[in-house]
Amino acid sequence: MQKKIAVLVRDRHSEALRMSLGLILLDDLVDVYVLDKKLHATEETELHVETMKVMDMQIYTNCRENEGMEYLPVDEIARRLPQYDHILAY
Amino acid sequence: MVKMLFLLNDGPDAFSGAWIEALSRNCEVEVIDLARKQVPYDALVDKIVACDKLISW
Amino acid sequence: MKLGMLINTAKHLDDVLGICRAALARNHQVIIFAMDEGTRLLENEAFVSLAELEDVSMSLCDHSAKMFGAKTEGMPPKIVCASQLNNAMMNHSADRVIVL
Repeated sequence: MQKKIAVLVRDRHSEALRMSLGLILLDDLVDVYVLDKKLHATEETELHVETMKVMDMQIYTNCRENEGMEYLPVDEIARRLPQYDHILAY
Repeated sequence: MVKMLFLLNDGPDAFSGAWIEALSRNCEVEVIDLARKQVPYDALVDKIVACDKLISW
Repeated sequence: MKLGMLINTAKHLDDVLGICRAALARNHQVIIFAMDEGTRLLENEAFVSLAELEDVSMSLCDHSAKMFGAKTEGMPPKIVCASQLNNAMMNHSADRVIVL
């Protein structure tokens, strides 16, 4: 059965995104939430985000500075999180 | 109501309080600060089993 | 219950050991995946020895191990030096996943 996984990107942005991409290898649903901060702009993070978009992964953020991601307020993210099987903060 | 176990791996930080508060509007949230070693490991495992959702912050 | 343990730091060794052993004592299965800075724990004998326990499986991200210079030679054969696929497998099969 497909699992639903939320990755909460907090500090080590590049590794969190790399892990998120790896988690889709078994066809589980993986949604990514970039929390509280602007995503570190590096070559790696940009590549990971691009790849996620190609793979139709959803990237949400509560930080309006993050362009190209769907903005959701804290309360809406908090309402959604209990719907996932695993919530991985990184 | 969903029972959520919220583990603070390194104690509270600048954002944890706001997220716990927001999650508490929809879930029954129990917070355990691992840095304070306040719960024996066997009891912690029991709580992990008993909860519906787990977040390690 | 199957408990997944995603180890991505080297800061919580006591918690990793304590939770893993307590879970086994309660007859749960434990799946450990180490990545990022967590691969540094491969230098720790107590951490590595968890892999030898019954009902524990352990794998690691080889990419991370190389990045952090973690020594992967001479590890117990039960430790699988692998990729993010193993993390996906852990998350797919575990009932709960703790990140430390």
